[in-house]
Amino acid sequence: MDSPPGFTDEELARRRAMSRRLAWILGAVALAIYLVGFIYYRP
Amino acid sequence: MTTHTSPHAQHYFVPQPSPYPFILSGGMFLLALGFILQMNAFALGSWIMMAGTAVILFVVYNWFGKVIGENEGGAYSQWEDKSFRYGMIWFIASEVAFFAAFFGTLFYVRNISVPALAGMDPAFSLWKEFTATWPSAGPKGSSFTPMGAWGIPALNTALLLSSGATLTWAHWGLLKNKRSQLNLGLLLTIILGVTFLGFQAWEYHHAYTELGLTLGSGVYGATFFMLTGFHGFHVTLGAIMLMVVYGRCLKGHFTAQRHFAFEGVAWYWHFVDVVWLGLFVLVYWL
Amino acid sequence: MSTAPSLEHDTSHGHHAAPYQGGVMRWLTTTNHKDIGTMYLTFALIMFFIGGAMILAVRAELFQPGLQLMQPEFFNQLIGVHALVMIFAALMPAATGFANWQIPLMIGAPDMALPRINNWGFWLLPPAATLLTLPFILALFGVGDGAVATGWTLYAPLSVQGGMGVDFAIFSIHILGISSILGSINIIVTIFNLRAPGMTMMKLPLFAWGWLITAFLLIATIPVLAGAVTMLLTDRHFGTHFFNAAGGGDPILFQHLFWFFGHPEVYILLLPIWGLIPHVLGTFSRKPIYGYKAQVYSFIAIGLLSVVVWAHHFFTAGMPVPALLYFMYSTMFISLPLAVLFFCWVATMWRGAMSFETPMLFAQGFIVLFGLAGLTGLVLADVAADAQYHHSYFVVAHFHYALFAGGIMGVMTGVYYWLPKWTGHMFSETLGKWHFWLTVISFNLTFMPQFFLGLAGMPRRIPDYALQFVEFNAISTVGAFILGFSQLIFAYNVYKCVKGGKKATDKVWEGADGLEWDLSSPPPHHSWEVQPVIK
Repeated sequence: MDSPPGFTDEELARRRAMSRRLAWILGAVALAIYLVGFIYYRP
Repeated sequence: MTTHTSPHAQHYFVPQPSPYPFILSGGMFLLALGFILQMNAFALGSWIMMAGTAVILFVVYNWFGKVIGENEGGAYSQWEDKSFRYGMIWFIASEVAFFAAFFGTLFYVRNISVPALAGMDPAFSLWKEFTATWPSAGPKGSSFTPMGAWGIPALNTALLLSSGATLTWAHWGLLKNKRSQLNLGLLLTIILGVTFLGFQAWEYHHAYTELGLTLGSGVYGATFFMLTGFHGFHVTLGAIMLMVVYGRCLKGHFTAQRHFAFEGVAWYWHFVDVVWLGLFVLVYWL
Repeated sequence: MSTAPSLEHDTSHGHHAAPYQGGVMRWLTTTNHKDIGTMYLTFALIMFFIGGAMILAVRAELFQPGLQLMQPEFFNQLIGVHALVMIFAALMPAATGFANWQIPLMIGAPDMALPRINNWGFWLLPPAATLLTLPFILALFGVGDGAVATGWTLYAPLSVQGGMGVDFAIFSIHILGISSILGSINIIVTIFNLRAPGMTMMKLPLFAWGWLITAFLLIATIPVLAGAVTMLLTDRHFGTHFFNAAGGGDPILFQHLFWFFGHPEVYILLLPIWGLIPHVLGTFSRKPIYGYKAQVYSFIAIGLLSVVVWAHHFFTAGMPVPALLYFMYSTMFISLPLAVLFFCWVATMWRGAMSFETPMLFAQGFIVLFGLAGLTGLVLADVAADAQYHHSYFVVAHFHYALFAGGIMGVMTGVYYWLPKWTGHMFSETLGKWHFWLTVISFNLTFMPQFFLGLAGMPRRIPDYALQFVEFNAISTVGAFILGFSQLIFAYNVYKCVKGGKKATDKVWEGADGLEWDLSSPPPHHSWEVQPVIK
C-alpha cells in the first residue's frame, strides 16, 4: 500500500499548537459575545 | 485497526448480473401510470395497467424461479441463508408499520375526531342532530348496519387460528422428516386460508347488498374496508406463497435443516394471523 | 481504533467474479455494489440540478413583488416538486449511494447482502422521478393541469381536491417508498450478516452506525407515509372519508400521519451525514474519533426520540395544551443527544494537527451552518414562539440550514472525501476550494435574509409579497443564483476526477483510518472477497 506524503514531526506539532490556540480564541470570543448579550439585553 | 486476511474464509454468493430488477421496475411504472390514467378516466389506462401487471407477473415468476434454482443447485450456504432470514424479518417489520398506520387511524377517529365533532357547539355546527356514537357514518352519512363480530368474523378467527396451528404442525413434520405430515399440514393450511378468503368475500357482498355498509359509509366504512381489505390482500399473497411452498414440498424440496422459504412464508402467515386478531378485537368486536 | 500498519491482502480471488456485460447492459443488470452506488450518486446529482433549476425559477419570480414570470398555480407546482425531488430523488439517493459504495468497503464485506434487490432499489428511482415530473410535460399537451400543487406535505383537503398531479405524486411516493424499504433492508442485513470477522458492533464504523439507525427509521416510517397517501388516494377516488369531517374523519389526521413519517425523515436525511462527518474530522485532524460510544448512543437516542415528536410541525393546527407541552419538551429534548454529537465533533478536532483540504472545509462549514439550523430549530420548537413563526420564511430558512447546509453540504463532504478512493484520481483542490467558498457565501446570502423575512412576517409559499420585503427577497434571489451556478463547478470537478487526474494513493489522506483505505484506489471490482479479520 502506498501512502500520501505526510507532514514532518515539527509541522504536526506546529499545527497542534495552532489548533489549540485557535480553539481558545474562539472560546473566548463566544464567551465575550455571551457576556455582552447578558449585560446589554433589551430593555 | 489491525487486519489480516483469514486463510479459510468462505465466499459469499454474489449473483451474476440480472435483468429482472430493471424489468420489474418498468412493470411497476406501467402499473402505476395505468392506474393513474384509469382513475382519471383515460381509456388507455386499464390497458397500460394490464401490461404492467403482465410484466410484473412474468418477472416475479422468473426471479423467484431463479432463486429457487440457485438454492436447489447448492449456491447458498448458512451464511446466505441468514441474509434471507434477516431480510424477511425486516420486510415483515415494515408491513407491521403499514398496518400500524391504519390501526392508528382507527384509534384517532374513534377517540379524537368523532368525539370532537360531537363536542362542537350546535349553534355553529352544520349538523345539529349529530351524536358521537361508534360506528359512525359521520354527520352526513346515510345509515347502515355495522358488521357484527360473532357471525362470520368469529368463524374466520377460528379458521385463521387453526390454520396457524396446522402450519406449525406441518413445520414439525418437516423437522422430523415426516413428509406426509408436512404435505398434509400445508394443504390444510391452504384450504383454511382460502376458506377464510371466501367467507371474507361473502361478507363484503353481504355488507354492500344487505347492510348498506360501503367504503363511503363515513369513517367507519372507510376504516372497516381498508383494514380488512388490506388484510385480505395480505392473506391472498400469503396463500399464494403457501401454494408455491406446497408445490415445492411435493417436488421434494427442503430438508429438516434447510428450509428458509418454508419458514419465511410461515412467519408471514403468522403475521397476517396476528393482524387478524387485532382486526377482530378492534374493528369487529369493540 | 488505532492507525494500523496494513498488511498485504490478496485481491486476485477472481474465480467467480461476474463477467459483467459492456455498455448499457452493465448498468441495467449489475449486481455490484460499486456500480449501483455510482448509479445512485449520478442519479442524485442529475436530480439535484433538476430540483435546483425549479427553485431558481421560483427565486426569479420572487426577485420582485408582483407576478412576473408565472401564474401562482405553476409557482405552487414548482415549490412542491422541488421539495419532493430534493428530498426523495437527490438527498436520499446520494446517501444510499454512499452506503452502497462505502459500507461493504468499511466493514470488509464482499458486496451488499442482497445484490439483486439492491439493483431493484435503484431502478425504481427513475420511474418514480418520471412520475413526479411527467405531469409538467403532460400539461404542455393539454392533459391534466400540471404537477402536484399542494407543497410536498400534500395536506388534505387541498390534496383531496387537487388535480391529476396529486395522483402522480402519490404513486411516485409509493415507488420511492418501496425503493427506500428495499435499500434499508439491504443495509441492515449487510451490517448484521456481512461484517468482517472480529468486527463487533462497537467496532463498526460510525458511518455504518448512522446508516443502520437511518434504515430502522425508514422501515418504521415509510410504510406509514404509504398508508397516509393510500388513504388520500381512496379519499380522492373511492369515496372514503378519512380526511373529511362530513364523514367523521379529520384533515388533521393527515398531518399526524404525514409528520409521523416527516419528522423522522429529517433524521433519515441527516444521520448518514452525522455518521460520515466524524471520519472526515478525524482524518484531517490526524486524531482518532473522539467519543465513539457517545456518538453511537446519541444516534440511537435521536432515532428513538425522532418518532415521538412529530406534532411540533403543526402546533398551530390545534391540539390540547398537554399535547402541545409534551411535543414541545420532547422536541427540545432531542437537542441533548445532538449537543453530544457537536461536542464530539469539536473534541475530535481539539489539539489536532489540522489541515484544510476540501472535504475538511465542507465539514467545517457543515458544523457551523448546521449548528445554526439546530439553534433556530429550538426557537420553532417553542409553542409560543412558533405561533408567530409558523408558516413563515423563518421556517424555510431553518430547514434549508438543516437540509442544504446539513444535508447537501454533508454529501459534498463525503463526495470530496471518498471520490479519490472511488476513481483513483485526485480532484482539483483549487476548484474544490472555489466551490466551497462560493457555496458557503452564497448559501448564507440566500438563506440568512429569509430568517429576517420570516421574523418580519413574510409567509412561505406565496408568489407575491408586500413591499417591505423587497430588499431581502432581491438579495436572496441573487444569492440563490450564485449558489445554483457554483454547483456547476462541483459537477465539472467530479467529471474531471472521474476522467483522469493525479493518481490517488491507496490511503489518499495521510490521516485516514479504516478498512476502505487498505484497498487500492480505485478498489477492484470485487473487493474483500476474502474477508479481513479484525483484531
